[in-house]
Amino acid sequence: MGVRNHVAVVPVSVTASALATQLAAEAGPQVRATPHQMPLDPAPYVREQVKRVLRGIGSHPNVGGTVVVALGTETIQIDTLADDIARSGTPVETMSIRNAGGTAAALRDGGEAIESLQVEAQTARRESTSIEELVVALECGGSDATSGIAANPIVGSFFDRLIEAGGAGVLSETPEFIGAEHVLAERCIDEGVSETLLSYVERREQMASLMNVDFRGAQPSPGNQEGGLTTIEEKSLGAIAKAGTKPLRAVLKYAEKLPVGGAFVVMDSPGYDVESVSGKVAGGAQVVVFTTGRGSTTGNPIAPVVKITGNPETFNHMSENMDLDASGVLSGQPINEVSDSLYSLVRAVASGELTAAERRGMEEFAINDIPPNVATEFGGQS
Amino acid sequence: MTPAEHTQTTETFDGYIRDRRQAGVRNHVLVLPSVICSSIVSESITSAVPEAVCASHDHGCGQIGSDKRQTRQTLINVAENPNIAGVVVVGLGCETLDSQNIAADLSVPVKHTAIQTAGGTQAAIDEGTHAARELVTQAGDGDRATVDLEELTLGIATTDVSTSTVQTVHPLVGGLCRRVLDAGGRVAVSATNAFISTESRNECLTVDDGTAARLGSFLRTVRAGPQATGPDGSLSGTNLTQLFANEPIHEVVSYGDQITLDSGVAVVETTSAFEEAATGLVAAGAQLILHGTAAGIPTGHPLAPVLKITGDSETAAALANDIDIDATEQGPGRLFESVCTAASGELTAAEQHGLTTFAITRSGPSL
Amino acid sequence: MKGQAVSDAFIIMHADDTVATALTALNPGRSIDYDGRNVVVSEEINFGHKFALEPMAVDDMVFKYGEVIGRAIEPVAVGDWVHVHNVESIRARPDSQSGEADAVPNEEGSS
Repeated sequence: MGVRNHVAVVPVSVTASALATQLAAEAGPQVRATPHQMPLDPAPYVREQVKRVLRGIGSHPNVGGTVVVALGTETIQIDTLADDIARSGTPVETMSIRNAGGTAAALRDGGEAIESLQVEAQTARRESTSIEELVVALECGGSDATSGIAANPIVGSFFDRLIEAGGAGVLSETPEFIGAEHVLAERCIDEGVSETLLSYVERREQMASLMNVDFRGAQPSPGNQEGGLTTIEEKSLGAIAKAGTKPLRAVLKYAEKLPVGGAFVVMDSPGYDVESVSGKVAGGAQVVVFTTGRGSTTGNPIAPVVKITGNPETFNHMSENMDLDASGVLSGQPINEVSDSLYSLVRAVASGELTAAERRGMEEFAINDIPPNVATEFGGQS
Repeated sequence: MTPAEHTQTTETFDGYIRDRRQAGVRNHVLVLPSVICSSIVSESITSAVPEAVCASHDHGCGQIGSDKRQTRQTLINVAENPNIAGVVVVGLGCETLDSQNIAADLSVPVKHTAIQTAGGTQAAIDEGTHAARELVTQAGDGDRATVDLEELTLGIATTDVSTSTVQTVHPLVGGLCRRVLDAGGRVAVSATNAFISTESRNECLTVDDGTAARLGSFLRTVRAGPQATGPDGSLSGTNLTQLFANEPIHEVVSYGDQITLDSGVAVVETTSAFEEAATGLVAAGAQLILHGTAAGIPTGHPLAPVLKITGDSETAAALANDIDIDATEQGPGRLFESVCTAASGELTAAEQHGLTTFAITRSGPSL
Repeated sequence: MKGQAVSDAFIIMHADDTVATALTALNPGRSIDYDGRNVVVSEEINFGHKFALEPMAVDDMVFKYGEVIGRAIEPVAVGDWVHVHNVESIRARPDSQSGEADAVPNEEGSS
């Protein structure tokens, strides 16, 4: 079930990314590019992860048609990728710069391919459907002292209600579990799930050690402490408060396909917002609920991103980029009341209401890379 | 370094004179986001100011240690490239690579805006657009003046070791390098694929032991990488050194750093992905890039003109409008002329189609 | 999580918590009734900072969000400011050297 009806222009490599962006810009707001910086021949240890993202975007429920664009010499074969996407039922076209006969020709032919998919996508009509088909991704960025006491607990209350109603949701940003991973581990439905969770958390911590940075030693940062955060446990508990109290069903790899129907799952991702959101959207999340304190303005090309802040100054100062003011709980408004508003807002957004990020054309996208030093130390992720 | 000191030579181009830097071959106002979160605001500013170029990228937050420092150095040094007349640094406000801090470290004319302090994305677009227009006015109409070729840092990128590139492009480009070096100019080389495919002892090619050790250390790291296969010996030492006129390597430069030598050959530590390599060359100081590509990678770079050269006649035919120089047909004279006219303002194929990418190599994981 | 703000003065994130979080700067001597109880703040508490709802001895666990956020390293009386001077992490490695050597701001990363 899609909450939007975009035509996606998906570049296979960085070499086709500028072409994808230009094609989408010329075709208007329905058409969305997902440019990225993965090379023509991504290393074997990162290739599967890149493929998962490209496939996931190309066959996303919010996408009514996909144009895959490439130079034509990529290791990830454009036709294989297009076949994978077509198997999901999404109409797909391909465009190779070499076969088209150069950049100018690819812009012309790509434009025609987009137009034909737009015609096809226009036959789709919105229909009333169950919340059980919705997958919501959780994210936080630009946190401040209000995040852990206002916006995140409100999202947690919303999230419990979503799962109870049969919807699904995903929490990621693995580094932000450090210090509170035991709380999430206790919520896992079985030992296998909790072991996977703990191994991902440990791995993120070791990645930091690899760069000579001690996560536990460095947290909470001086700025966090000034804001009142005392320990890493307190900081991470505030972050995972977004995910409410329901049992944790599964722990997935970056950009792995997300389950639907009453499931709370975790996806391994960096805390880096744009890569984290892109991974969850590639997994199939149709809507993103994003809490911020200082005011993050990022969106996503494929899924609407709902911005909620508990900082009243941020809401007023950056109102053009914010969707929901959660600061009422700081002056006595019950959490349930604000989470009700969020629930209604998410339903409205799923039904077509534009978010602030959509109105402003904010649609950042990036694929999480595995650098050589990480691959050498831990092997790849496939 | 002034043109007057070298009046005898005829090796010149028409560039933009800069204080304390080499001449520019373009006169860009750069809109530079410190983080991906301000990339769309930066692109909007660039669309509103036709004279501006944008260097949007995927990084700037959730970075730590040496990886964070490398990205920061890269952003600073691309902004210091002679092609840049002024910079608007655009931040979000809570990013790891603090935009104000980057702006403070720049010596070029610089202005700054951040989304959180401006009060949202539209407010930042308005502030940034105003700032970019001021810098455009300040940069002036940009009258070109004739300067000696010694003011050129030629960037050379070869991203593959196919026979066509090695046999046809390397010697042709080598001849060009010879003329640039003889005129007192600099050559920045990104040819990592060629280096690691060469069996010979690369130490022999450097001017001193320190440089040899440095080059050896870089190549060992690349070869020890999880993807590397080690030298396959497909290139002879001569195949490799022909690319830069068999000149000894004077300096090895970290990705994101500037070349320090006054003239000669510098090797820049890059990956073999053109888009990342080009940014490394621009940060090193190259005003113009010559890209040898068998596959016909057509991408341009927002900060420097890129001339595409191929030794693959099939590619030259298939991508005729994207390739500037067909090395199977054009000789050294024509190549030299193409470089000089491009340096003097003639648009390259990539500048004509207008599609550019600004990518940065990462050396650590996102957290 | 069932956070409930007590007017605009402070918020208790969970019924089991032994600390509350100030929602505005609270002056010493400020007396607040909540849930049939009363607390008198003993020192200045800034927005976002915590004070004790229960007395704590050394090594007592400190609860927020219904979970342990650390251990008291000094005796704490009801109304006292609770922060790094009297509470330490249980999960941070106590032997670790803090952070990075370089000092570019905003080390906390993306959140």
